Amino acid sequence: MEMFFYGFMQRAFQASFLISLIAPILGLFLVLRRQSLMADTLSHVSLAGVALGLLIGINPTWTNILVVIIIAILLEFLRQIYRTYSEISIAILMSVGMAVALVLMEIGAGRTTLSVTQFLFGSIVTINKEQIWMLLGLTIIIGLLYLIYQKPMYVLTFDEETAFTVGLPIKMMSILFNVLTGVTIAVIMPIVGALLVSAIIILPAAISLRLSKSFYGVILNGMVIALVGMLSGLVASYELGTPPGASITIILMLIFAVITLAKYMLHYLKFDRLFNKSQG
Amino acid sequence: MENKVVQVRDLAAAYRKNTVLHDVTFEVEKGTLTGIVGPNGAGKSTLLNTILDLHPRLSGDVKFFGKPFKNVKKKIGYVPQRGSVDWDFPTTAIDVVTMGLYGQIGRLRRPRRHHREKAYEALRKMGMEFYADRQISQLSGGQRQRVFLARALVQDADLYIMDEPLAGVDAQTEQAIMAILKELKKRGKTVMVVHHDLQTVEEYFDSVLLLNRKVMHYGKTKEVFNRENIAQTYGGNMRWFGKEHRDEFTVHE
Repeated sequence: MEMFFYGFMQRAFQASFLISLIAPILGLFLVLRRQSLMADTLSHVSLAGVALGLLIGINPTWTNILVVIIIAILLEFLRQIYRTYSEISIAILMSVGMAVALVLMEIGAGRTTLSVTQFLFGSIVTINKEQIWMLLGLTIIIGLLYLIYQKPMYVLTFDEETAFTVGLPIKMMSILFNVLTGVTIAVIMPIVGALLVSAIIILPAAISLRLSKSFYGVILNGMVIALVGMLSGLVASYELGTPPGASITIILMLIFAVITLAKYMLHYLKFDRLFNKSQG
Repeated sequence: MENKVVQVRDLAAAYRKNTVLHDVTFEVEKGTLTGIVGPNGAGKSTLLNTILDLHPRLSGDVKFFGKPFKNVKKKIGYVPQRGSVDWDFPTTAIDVVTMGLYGQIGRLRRPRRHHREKAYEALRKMGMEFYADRQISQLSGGQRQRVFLARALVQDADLYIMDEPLAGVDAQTEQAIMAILKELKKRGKTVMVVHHDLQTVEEYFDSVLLLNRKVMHYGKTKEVFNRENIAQTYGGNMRWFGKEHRDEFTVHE
């Protein structure tokens, strides 16, 4: 197991562990709020953030976070305006993000050794200590906010009207949630790649939704699924030389297929009661 | 003024540029059970949404217990239409009911035993105690409505505002809900209900508000709910089959 001796692989495993803790929390809320495509939009926008940083010669992570926060807030306002067509704002911003990223890249071509391809597909070799610390800080912040806001967020997600009538600060919570999602994407995007970062956030929660009937069950199972998918994806990526984001996504899809098939078969064999009992 | 739970004056509301409600003025007294009745598109749900600040109002003044809505949110329990929430949500019936207790539990604390018991008690009242751990997607329409009602009950509000709680539910659920509404009234609570079934208005509500974009008639059911006023509210869209015949109204929309 030589891979564990490499510093970059150790950092990749540390990052995977932290991502597995936060992805299912954000992912479940994104899915239930019908915003799973928002993660995609933010990842495209974050490419523009990176390109901007490379162009003006600032650490791209910081410009990225800044740009993504602005767009995340904008998205919430657009969501309120286009209540019934909330995907419009998502579609518009996704293309604009990509377009701006491409233009900035072209302008900045040749000025930096960092290539944008690296950000498109992700690279585990590039993870540095600073990113791990940022990810750890983010995990702690999301964990704390989740503990404080879990009940209000639960009501808000289930029933926004009632959340308003009982006096919850729904606008503030929605914006805070979008901002956290944006920052998370900006931080993990260089690792797993802009094109697949949303898959890593959404898939564990989406798979877990098929397994558990309770909210906390979905989150806990989602963490386990994310961890299994990310660690095995990393190992596959190392052994086969495949891009990490893609390897993880394919493994998560395999988990999804196996679980769906197993559930179907258990149901077919009338063992589904037994199956449901073992879930939280 | 103590007795006035809801006071609405000159309320108007619109969707885009179409005025849906105008000149809506009424007062609801404490301890009454009021049915809000009117044809489709009369603005019944809009009325509830507007007084609860869920929908912007063009003009007018709304007070609950003599104060603006935002100051008395805790005293008001709102039961939205069943279709307005996502029933595939990964949660159980008891967890939905416990949601109604969050205001009392506090943000950082977990629900305690007496909170759980209170939630169970509410489910029991609705005849749903055996479904407590069932995922809500596996409940029937009537059962979902009863879970919704149970959630409102544990809130222990003084005024309950409900949007079509009896729409599309089975007879057993309808009876269970009406029993609860009457009990609430007996305990001095005030209840406002958007209702669609003209046949049961007299039996269920002591006051009725006939709405068609404005308040057509409002008062004690005995005094206001008559053939003439109903015909006026529903325009030409109503056929009356005669009280002596089968005591039946049929509404053609």
